[in-house]
Amino acid sequence: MENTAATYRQCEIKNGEIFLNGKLIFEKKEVPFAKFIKGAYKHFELRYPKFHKMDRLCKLAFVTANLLLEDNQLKEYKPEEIAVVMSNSNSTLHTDSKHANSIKDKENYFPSPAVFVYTLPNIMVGEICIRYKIKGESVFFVSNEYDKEMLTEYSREMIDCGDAKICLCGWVDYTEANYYANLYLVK
Amino acid sequence: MEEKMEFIVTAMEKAPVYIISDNIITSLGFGTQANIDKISDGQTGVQCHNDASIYPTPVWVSKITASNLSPAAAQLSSPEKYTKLEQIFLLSVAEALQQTSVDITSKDTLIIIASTKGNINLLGDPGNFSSDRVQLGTMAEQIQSYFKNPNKPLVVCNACISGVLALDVAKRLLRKNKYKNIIVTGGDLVTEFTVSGFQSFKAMSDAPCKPYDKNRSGINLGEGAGTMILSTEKPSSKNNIITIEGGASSNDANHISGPSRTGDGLFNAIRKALNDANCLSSEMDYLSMHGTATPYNDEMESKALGLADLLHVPMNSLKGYIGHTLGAAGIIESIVAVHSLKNNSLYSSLGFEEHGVTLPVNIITRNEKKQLQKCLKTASGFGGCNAAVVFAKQNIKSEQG
Repeated sequence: MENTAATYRQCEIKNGEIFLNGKLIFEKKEVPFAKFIKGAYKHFELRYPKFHKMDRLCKLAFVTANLLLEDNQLKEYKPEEIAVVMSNSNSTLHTDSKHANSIKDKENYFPSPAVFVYTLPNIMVGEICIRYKIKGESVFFVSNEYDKEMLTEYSREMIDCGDAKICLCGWVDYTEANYYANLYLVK
Repeated sequence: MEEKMEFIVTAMEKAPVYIISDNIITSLGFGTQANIDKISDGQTGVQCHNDASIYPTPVWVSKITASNLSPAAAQLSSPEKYTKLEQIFLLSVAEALQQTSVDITSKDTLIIIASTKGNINLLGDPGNFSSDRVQLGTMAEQIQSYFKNPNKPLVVCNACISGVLALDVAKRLLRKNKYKNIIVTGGDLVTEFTVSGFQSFKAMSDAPCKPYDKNRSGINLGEGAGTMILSTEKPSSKNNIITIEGGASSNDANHISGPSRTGDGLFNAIRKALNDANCLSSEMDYLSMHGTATPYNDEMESKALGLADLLHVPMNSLKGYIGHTLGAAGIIESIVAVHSLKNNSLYSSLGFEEHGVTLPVNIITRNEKKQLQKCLKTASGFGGCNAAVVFAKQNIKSEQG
């Protein structure tokens, strides 16, 4: 694939393991996701109180983005020059079910804004933008399969036409049964 | 070498993106003209619904009734195979297609779908449908396979800017000549899922919404679909050709559920869209705003227009006519804006009575005929996202003459 040369740094999280540029940097298998991601958050001393309010999908995206962007990867760019192109297949299914459960019983009806706000997948993008002061172009696509080539090409074109100088790109998907995050930088 | 490349790219002419056809389906009617006629008459589709399947207490929303949808859906082949939202999408795309010679089965044609929640009404209770129909990707495949389109559809799921952003995504792909035609369709339903969520935010109005008004108290949700067919090929008609001249998106990087207080995020999107269109703010004849009628959103928009030097330009929000149709909103409202340009018509911003934002925005209070050349459409949403596109009317002179 032509884009490998243009892709710098990547962080991948799956099955209780975290890889930075292909190298295993953290492992906590055989624990539920919530414990695993909190373990990673503590291990890497990410220190961001808002993390604890996030839903699982955003926590996964947040930890992946933090590890990818550590060492000030974005320091030479202005906020408007940084773009985000992300995708997943299950949108916000886990939090959707949580919200749906809160309105199932008319006698015990308790929809919560703190839950409902996480029923949009681009909230992940918003959380990352707030943390890293990213103000450029962004888009969230949903597709049943991870089409890395399409996302990379889209990011590359955004850079080629001058709408961004660097692009945070990739896939973050979470369900009770499975999760996978792969974020990388295109510049 | 890299510098040289950049020069070539910026010096390259941007390929024009023509809007060749459109369709709107809302509570106001089936078809663009039916919707525009009602808007022009000042009619609203927002009504008080006392329906426990939407919310335990009465709510003001704009809904497409089964008695309107069923006869229309009967035109589809095997309508029972499709969910309510899919039926609306299929009808909208089919009707927009009929007005063109676009071959939807060609490799050169792509479908882009904008939706925030898709078939969310199936979650937990899919009825006759398979449970994976709640996946946006699976819903998109239904639409793709109905029309026998060979390309995997793109689904843009980006909160309330999904529709406007989908048009900008299409613009990028067409400029790169990846496709000859792109069918951009946006849709969402009024469901208990979204109504209860917006209620929990205390963002819903308990009366018809009043964008930019002093007494505005929140949104009315709405449902429907809008479809725009875009092409790199110039339409054969000589008059009233409308193009997408530019577009952009931005993030506030401020708050996930509240807009920026300063309007700088939306301003950034507007500024970039105008640059992309090679336009000055002084060239804008009309602004089709997002105008949800929540206190913060409308205030933020006024600040952004102040920063962009657009306060004097006539503007409206269409939420008073059709409610906030979420993923469909940006496309439906863009279609009305395109027809405003074509018909040289400005439509009043329904629900507005008394000025209620800090800056003196120019809200359209009565329908008006006026020569219009260019307009701007904006949207803002949860996650701090903003998008803007610029539409222009091409004055095509007789090329033979």
